[in-house]
Amino acid sequence: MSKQDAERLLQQALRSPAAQFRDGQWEAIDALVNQRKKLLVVQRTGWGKSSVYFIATRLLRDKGFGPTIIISPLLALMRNQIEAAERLGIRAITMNSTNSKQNAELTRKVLSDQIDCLLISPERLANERFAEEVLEPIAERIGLLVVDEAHCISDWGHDFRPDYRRLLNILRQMPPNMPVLGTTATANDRVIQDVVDQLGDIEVMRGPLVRESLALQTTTLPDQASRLAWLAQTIPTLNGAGIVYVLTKRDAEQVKEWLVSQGIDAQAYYSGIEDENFNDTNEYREHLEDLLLNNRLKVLVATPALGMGYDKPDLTYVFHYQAPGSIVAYYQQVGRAGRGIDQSFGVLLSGTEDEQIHDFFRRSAFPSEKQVNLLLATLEDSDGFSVPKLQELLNLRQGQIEKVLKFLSVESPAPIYKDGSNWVRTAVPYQLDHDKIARLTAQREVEWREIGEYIDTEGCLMEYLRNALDDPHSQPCGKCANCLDEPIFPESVDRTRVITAAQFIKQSELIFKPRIQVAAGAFPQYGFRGNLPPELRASEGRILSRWADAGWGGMVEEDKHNGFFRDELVEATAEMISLRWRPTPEPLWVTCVPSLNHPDLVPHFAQRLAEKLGLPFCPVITKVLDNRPQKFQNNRFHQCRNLDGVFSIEEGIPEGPVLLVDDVIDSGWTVTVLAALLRQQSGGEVYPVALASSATGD
Amino acid sequence: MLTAHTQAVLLLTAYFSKASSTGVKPLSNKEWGRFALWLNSKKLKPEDLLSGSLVQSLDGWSDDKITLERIEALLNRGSALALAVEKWSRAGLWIVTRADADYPRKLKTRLGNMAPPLFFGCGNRKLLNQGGIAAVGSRKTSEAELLYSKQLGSKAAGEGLSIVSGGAKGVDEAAMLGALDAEGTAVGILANELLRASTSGKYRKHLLANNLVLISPFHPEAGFNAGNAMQRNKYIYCLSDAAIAVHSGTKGGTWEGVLENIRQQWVPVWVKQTDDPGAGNAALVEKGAKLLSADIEAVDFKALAGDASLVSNGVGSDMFSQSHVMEPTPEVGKAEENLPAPALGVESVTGQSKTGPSLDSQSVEQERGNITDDTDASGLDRSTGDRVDSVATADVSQISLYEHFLLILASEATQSPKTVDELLELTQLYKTQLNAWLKQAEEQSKIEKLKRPVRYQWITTTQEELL
Repeated sequence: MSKQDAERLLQQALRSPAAQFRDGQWEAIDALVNQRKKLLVVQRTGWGKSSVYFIATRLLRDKGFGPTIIISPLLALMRNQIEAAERLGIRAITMNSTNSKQNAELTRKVLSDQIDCLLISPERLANERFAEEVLEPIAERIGLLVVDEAHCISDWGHDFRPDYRRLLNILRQMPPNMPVLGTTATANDRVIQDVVDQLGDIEVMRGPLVRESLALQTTTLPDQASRLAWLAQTIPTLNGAGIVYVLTKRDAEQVKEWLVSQGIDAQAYYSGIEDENFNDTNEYREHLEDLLLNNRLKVLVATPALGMGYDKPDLTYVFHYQAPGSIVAYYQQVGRAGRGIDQSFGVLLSGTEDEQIHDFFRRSAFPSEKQVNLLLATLEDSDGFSVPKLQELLNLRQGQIEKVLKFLSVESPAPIYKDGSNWVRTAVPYQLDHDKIARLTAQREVEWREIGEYIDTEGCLMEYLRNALDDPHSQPCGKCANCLDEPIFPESVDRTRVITAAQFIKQSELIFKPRIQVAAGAFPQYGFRGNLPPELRASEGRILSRWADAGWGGMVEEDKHNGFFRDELVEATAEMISLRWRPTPEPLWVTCVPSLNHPDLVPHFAQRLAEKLGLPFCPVITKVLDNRPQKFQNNRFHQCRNLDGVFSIEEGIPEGPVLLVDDVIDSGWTVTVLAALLRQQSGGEVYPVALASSATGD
Repeated sequence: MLTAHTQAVLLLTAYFSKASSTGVKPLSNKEWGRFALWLNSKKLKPEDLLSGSLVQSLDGWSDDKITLERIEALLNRGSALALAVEKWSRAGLWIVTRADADYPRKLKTRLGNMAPPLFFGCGNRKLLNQGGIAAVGSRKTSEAELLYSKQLGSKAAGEGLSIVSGGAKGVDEAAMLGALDAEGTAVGILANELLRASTSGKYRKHLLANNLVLISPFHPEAGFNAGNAMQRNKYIYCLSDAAIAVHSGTKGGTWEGVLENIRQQWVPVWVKQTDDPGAGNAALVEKGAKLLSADIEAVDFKALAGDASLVSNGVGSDMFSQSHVMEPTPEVGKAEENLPAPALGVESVTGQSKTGPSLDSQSVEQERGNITDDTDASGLDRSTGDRVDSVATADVSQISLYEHFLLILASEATQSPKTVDELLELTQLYKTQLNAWLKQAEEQSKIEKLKRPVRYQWITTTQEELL
């Protein structure tokens, strides 16, 4: 296959008779198709890597090879890419959600060789069932393997991603005659070298990372209220759509709510986000990506879950509400702005909580030795256990168990192996690699310090980024806030707006979703099993704050330690209930969760709240068993089991809907069980209400 | 990471998924032998096929079964290989090919090109070359037989000998666990589900303690298949120094395995005495196996392999005798003491006349003599399969007619293959005899049968080593 022939395909794909290959495109195609080599292409977003793999796919298919597999964190190919592929006669599809209705049909198409290009996520690749049902049957014919965001397979990549670790182990087994294309727009020398070291025989093609239209600025605003105010005053001054990056899901929701309250068309985006109008999270996320892509949304408030592979040529701005963990991550995210337009902006706001959040991320990146040993010891003398069984045997959170399992299962060789739904111990001796964990943690600390230096640097910001990424072509950009020697956007914020934002933060209550499915065999006394019937379920509730947060949470923490919740919290809670929540049918009375350790704390609070709301307070629940604190129960089985037979409800309780008050809600099982017990007697709605949530999210 | 050599051999010979899809068939042991020989003659290594032009590399290769298209399709299974090998190595499995030092040498010498191109394995691979006592027997058997098997294992362990077995339920598992629980070592050659066995509670701790190695030439997730189980039996015998069949039916795997071993003369095979009327043990003894005492205390392991084989070999009047006149291991240098025993060739290591129905006292004496002469355990490691090398230098007067025939083949059919007519001329044999011996030599991978026209080529040891 010659360059001319390939170039004709390019023209066909782009529907442009004058189109010519960009630097490196033909060389990459030639290396893959004609020489069957392995290639790592480091090129900026928009260079045209999809042209490379689509043309290579066409050529390989014509030679009789099977489909191309693209491993990408993208949820789907961009529509314009699919259209370009179709013009080459390439049928490209994505398979991502396990339960997706179309899966059976797509699987059939893949197996009957009607698909030329299959895009899957690294998670999908690691999914045993998918591997067995879809991948293995076609694996003997796969013509080309493409790994998008290939920097993730390096330990030095900006994040530890277990599924990329698995991918790396697969790539390491690829024989010399199997063509592999790795692509990344962000990788410094160390990362590239690491990828080369890990994969051995791979050729590197590297182009400049320059982003000419992007103007950068860094602004430190310690408190969240000021940063919210800054966003609300800055975003409306810009034409076009953009992204605000935040670090946590909770921040995504909060910032989105704030912007919407300020009349800005915003949506939140993070992994697992759901919407009632969409079947699953992937479908909804794709919808959000489409909205932004088509400028039908002013701003998407996103965690780093939005990013890799997302390609919108006319993105006007990328603002960071909180600082990301590394320069690589920052460049990755800010680099999405303004590829195809003359002017775009990247502003990094930073605040006091950033450090704390990253410290938490670093500390929780790896499972503890104790958890690892506990799990391995449990599997040691068995022929394997399922995750629910492990929850029963180990008092660890489901998330912790899954994290340990994932972490251990991608080691190679691994001490555990998944056989059907059971996890079994392999005959591989195992010792947690402390040195490696220490090395990676130290590396992340260094990366975090680099972000600090970026924020403080007085030199050109773009040059700093490019130097950090070992871009040999780096020079002052002439358009960042430092080059101009004045901020692009004012750093001062309007006082009244800051006050409004501060009030908003204090009204950022959380919605409590009651639990429904009880753990098997956990309630021999109460007799609950399976899904609680609707007539026993709690209604949706409200939680005033997040434990120790910048809103009311700090006050809740302080007061809980002092043994008395001040009236300010009573008023805030009453306001939340009667002004914003307004549950219907209206509650007619108030009761509370009893405690043997702090017998008065919650009743005092609940009583004052009832007075404020003008409702009777009836403490009808008593604790008949002194169980272990619920906060030490780490997963559903233990949380349920610990509550069985613990409470009793007085005879003859009032009729009608009731507010069930607690101070801090963690797993939510206590109020769920109490709601069921209350409803067994009276049948009225039970509305849980609490001062703070300490839930970790799993 | 696998070497390119291992990758190439895997691509050409291994299945990568349980349900082999529509894809091409990997090369069988025989086909691989044929292809590997050709590669070697062209000074090509299998890994050379993974780079450059395949058409150029394979210029001159022509084979009805192993077409260029088939080879190309096999080699293009790179992704399937990577997915499968990642999964298997994650679970702690490894792969040995014939080029690896840990590949069981006894298999190469005893089976020649019929030895599998590779094994999947788990555990201590150093055990693969330490020989041992093969323990085989029925899956379904009595408690007493199981106990005997277990004691057999623990007794072998006490004497520093490995148990070589198939890991199947029944006798296999009992003997292996008997050895392992006594802190001995065992080699399990599995016909199915290596992956599951390697993560099973019963074997895991022994694998972790380096006392056990489990290997299989088949897909590590393959289910049970009678054909595979039979093929696997060969490897159990060939990897051991002596074999004990604890219990055999009158047909089936154990029965066939013992007979095959008698036919092929791999190792001395002993059959435990039993009162079970349904057992085939006694019949096997009539066919040339040796009788082993039912009293475990009386079994002398060191004597099982020793030179006992000399006593019973080659004398039976059954159908196999003709094909196995191939006799003493020449390098032993005790040929005079070890004259073939006359008559029945049935004997007992214990020498207690009550244990054997037709015990020949002379052979017992003979046997005892051997034991006292050669009491060190190293006798177990002496491979009868070293014959291939030693035959060329042996004194013609001491070797069998068949071995003499092999010598002729080695000297005449190494440089260029010979047709049947040429060989008739050379050997002056009757055609039926020639064909019988050619067939035997081919089965033992001494020679390669080439087609169009039919010719026979001697397979040299150097070639084997290289591959």
